[in-house]
Amino acid sequence: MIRFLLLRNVPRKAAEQQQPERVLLRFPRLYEIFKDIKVMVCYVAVLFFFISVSAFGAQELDCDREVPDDLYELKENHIPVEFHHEPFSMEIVDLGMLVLLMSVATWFSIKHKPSSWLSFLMLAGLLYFGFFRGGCICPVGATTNFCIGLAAPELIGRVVAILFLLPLLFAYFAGRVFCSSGCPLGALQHLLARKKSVQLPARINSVVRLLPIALLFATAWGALRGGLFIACKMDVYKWLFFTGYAWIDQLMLWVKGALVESRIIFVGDVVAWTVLGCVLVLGYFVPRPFCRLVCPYGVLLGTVSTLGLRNREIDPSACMNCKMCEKKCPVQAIHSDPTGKLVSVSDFHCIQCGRCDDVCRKSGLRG
Amino acid sequence: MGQSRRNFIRISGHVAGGLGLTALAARIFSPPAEDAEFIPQNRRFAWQINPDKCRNCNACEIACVRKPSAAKALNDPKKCSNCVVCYGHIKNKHIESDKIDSHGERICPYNAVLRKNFCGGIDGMYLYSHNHAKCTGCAKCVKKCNEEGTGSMFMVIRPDLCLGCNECAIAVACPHDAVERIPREPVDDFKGIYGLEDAYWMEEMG
Repeated sequence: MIRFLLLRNVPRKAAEQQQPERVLLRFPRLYEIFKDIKVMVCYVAVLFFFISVSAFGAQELDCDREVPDDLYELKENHIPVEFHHEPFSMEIVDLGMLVLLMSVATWFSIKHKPSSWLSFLMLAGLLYFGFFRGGCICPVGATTNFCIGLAAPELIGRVVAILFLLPLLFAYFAGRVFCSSGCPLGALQHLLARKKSVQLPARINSVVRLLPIALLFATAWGALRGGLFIACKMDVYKWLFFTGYAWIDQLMLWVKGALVESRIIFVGDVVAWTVLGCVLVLGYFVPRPFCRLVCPYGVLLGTVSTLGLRNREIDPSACMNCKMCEKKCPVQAIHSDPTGKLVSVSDFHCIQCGRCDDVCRKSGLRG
Repeated sequence: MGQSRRNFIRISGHVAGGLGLTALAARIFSPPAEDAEFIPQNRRFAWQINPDKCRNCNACEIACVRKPSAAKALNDPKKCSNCVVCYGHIKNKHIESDKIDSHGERICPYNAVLRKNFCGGIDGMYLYSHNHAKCTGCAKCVKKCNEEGTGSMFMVIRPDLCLGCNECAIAVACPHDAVERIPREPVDDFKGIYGLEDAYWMEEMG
């Protein structure tokens, strides 16, 4: 405080230096001291005032009610209300279910069973992974999660990494069976598609096929750069899965007698549901639009299955070039050369759905 | 000759692809770095609100893909001062004690803040809690409680209601970066570590 007062004196001293002849006081020093003491007394008084006021205020703010013993005991013995995630065992069940579905699909596919058998498998996968687990096995999300995991392994769970790697392993040995059994997105599109599908013109199809590859790089870049889920935003079916999941969750809570929210849950807004409706209508005519236009995981699966051990082929001796399989294929993986003599299956795009087995009268599909 | 060359290329492709995938898998399953913020313990991750960073805007209610939102308000009963007039409960605070239940203008638009007398009659101790069936996570009560009251209320994302999106819409929308991706743990109505100044009843503990 003394330092503060000294600082305050500086401008007055400067004024004295400017006009020294006018200041003629008898006891200048005494006057100065007296004035300083006056200021000091003022400061001290103000300080005391504030201290007393703040102490008084603090007394008022403090809750001076005594805590009764029973409330004190209640607070001491309070058992926290806990909300749990689903148990870790559910994730093991997920893994088991995925392995089971893909194994059965592999068996069906190798034995060339009718495609309706695989449709039941897809239905099971859709109901379990899509609606019961809320679209948990999302190929798009798995890709992004894996990319994030490459940047920082502690940021993703290992179950997610296994969920990402398992279909790749199956794709190496048996082709893309994940697409026709475990994937809820693929199952939804496959089941809601017309049997007599519209085939895209070859030139458009060859361009459109490049989109997932571009999106795979975009997804990896976005995930590694800043944890962006670029491809997740293009997944329009998630609103359906989330809504179904929330409804099943609420139903189970209602059975238990716990929380029931007063409003009907609809995940997503009007725009999202409109887009979903449009894509579903598109998917009725052009089968699997998401798989063919967007899915970045399909590119990885296709690459692995191209390298892989099992290749679906058409027996040239049995084939009679009716091209029924080419018209029926939902992903346009079968193509014939312009002369129409040689019909071949692209391992990259074939999803092992078995529709070509249905229509081939000579049972000409091998592998 | 052509056949064997093709075979060689094919096998080398297999080996290269397998090695690449193995390397990626090894990277994923490698132990976390020493300066990692947490150790994952083989669990999956979930998004949760950090109460220290949360400023109780209503972004959770608006942004959450689930309607009503999975973000709900909770009251920490250990921290709560059990006031007669709760800032998170009513707006018109200058009101007679016996008219609070009947004439108090509620902060919550859905009347989800529950008030229950514990002891001491009409001017005694009251217990406050939230009815999650009505709560939409608008955080109005939490904001009032933190600005004017004890600060015992806080927001959580209820894990049993959360849909578990890969990219949490709340985390994208949150203006304070309060929504963090953390290992899954049960969520309870315990706000955090208490300081001595936080609750008057802690003074009795010494």
